[in-house]
Amino acid sequence: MDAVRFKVEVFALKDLLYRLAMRLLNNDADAQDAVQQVMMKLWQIREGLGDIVHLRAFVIKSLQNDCLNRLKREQTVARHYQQLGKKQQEVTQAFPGNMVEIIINEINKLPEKQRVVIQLCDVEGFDAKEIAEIVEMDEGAVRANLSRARKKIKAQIQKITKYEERQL
Amino acid sequence: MKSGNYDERVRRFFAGTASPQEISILKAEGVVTRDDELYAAALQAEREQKMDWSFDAFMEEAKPAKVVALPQHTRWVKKIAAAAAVAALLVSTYLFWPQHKHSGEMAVVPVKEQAMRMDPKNNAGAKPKLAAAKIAPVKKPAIVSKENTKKAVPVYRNVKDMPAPVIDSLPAAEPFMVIVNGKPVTNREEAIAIAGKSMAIFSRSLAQTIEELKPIAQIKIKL
Repeated sequence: MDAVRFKVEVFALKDLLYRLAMRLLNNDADAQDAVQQVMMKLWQIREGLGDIVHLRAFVIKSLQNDCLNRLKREQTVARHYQQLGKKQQEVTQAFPGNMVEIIINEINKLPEKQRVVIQLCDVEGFDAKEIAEIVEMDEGAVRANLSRARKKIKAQIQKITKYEERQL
Repeated sequence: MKSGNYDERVRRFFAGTASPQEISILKAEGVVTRDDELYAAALQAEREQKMDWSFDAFMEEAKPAKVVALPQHTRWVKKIAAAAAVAALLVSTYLFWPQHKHSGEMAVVPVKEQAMRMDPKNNAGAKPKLAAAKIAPVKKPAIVSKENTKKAVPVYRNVKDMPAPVIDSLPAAEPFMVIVNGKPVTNREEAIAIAGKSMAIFSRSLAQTIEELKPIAQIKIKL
C-alpha cells in the first residue's frame, strides 16, 4: 500500500479513531497518543494492509486493542477514573443546564461494550454487521447492547428534563 | 424507540445521516421524541470532535532517522579505541580472574599401597625400614626406552573415599628420638643420621639461597 492509498483508506479514519479512543480512555492526550501509535504501527505494516478485506474494521479493532491495553495499566486506569469523577463534577457544577455535556457524560458512564457499540453506531454510523465484526459479537448482541445503552441514556435524559421542568 | 421498519431510519437519525424528510416522518410517527432529539444533538457535538493532525506531520514522524556517515579518520580513531578497550578488558579479565586451585573435590593423589595396608598391630614391634637415603633429594628416574616399558595408568582416588592415613600408635614404653612419616625411629644412631642429613640439606639450601641473592646487592637504581 503506497502513501496515497494509506492516506485515503487508513489515515482518513484518524478522527473516528480519536473519538473512539476518547470514549475509551477519557483523556485527550492518551487518545491522541493511542491514535498516533496505531497509525505508526499500521504504516509499518502497510505492505500487508492491501490484503485485508475489512480494512476499516481492522483499523478500529487495532485501536480498540491498543486502548484496552492502555487501560489495563494500573496508573492509566486510576487516572481514568479520577478524571472521570472530576469531569463529572465539573459538568454538574459548572454547566448544570448543558444537556449535551450531561448526555456525553452519561455515555462515558456506560459499560465498555455498550460505550463502544453506541460510539460506533450512533456517533460514527456503522451498521450492526460492521460493529459485530469489530467488537467480535453477533449482530443480535450488538443490537441488544445498543438498545440497553440507549434506554439508559434516555432514562437519564428524562430524569434531568423532569428535574428542570420542576424547577421552572 | 420503536423497533421494526423504523430501525434503519432511527439509526440514520442518530448517526446524523437521515434526510430532513426522514426526520419529519420519524417525528410525525412519534418514533423520535424530544429526548431523542437532545440525544442526537449530543451525538452531533461528539461527531464534531476532530484530531488536529495532518498527513504531512504524520509522514514526517514516520520517516526513518537519517544515517549520517562519519568521516574516515573518525572511524579509524573509533576502531583503535575499540581495539584498545577490548585488549584492556582481556588483560584485566586475565589478571582478576579468580583461580580456584583447590576448589574441586577430586584430587590427584598417588596411591601408596604400602601406607594403606599398614596395620598398627603388626608393625608395632617392627623395626623402621626408613633409611637416611629416603629423605635425600629426589632424583629423577632414569629414562627407559618406551618399547620396554608399559605405559603406567595413573590411578586417581577421591579424597573423600580414601581412608585416613594410619599413624602408628606410639609405644609408651620405648623412647623414640625422631618421627619420620608418622613412624617413630627408636634407633639412636639412625635418628642421629636422619637429623644430620636433614640439617645438611637445610644448610645447603640456605647457602645456595645466599649465593643467588648476592647479585641483588650490586644492583643500583637511580631515581
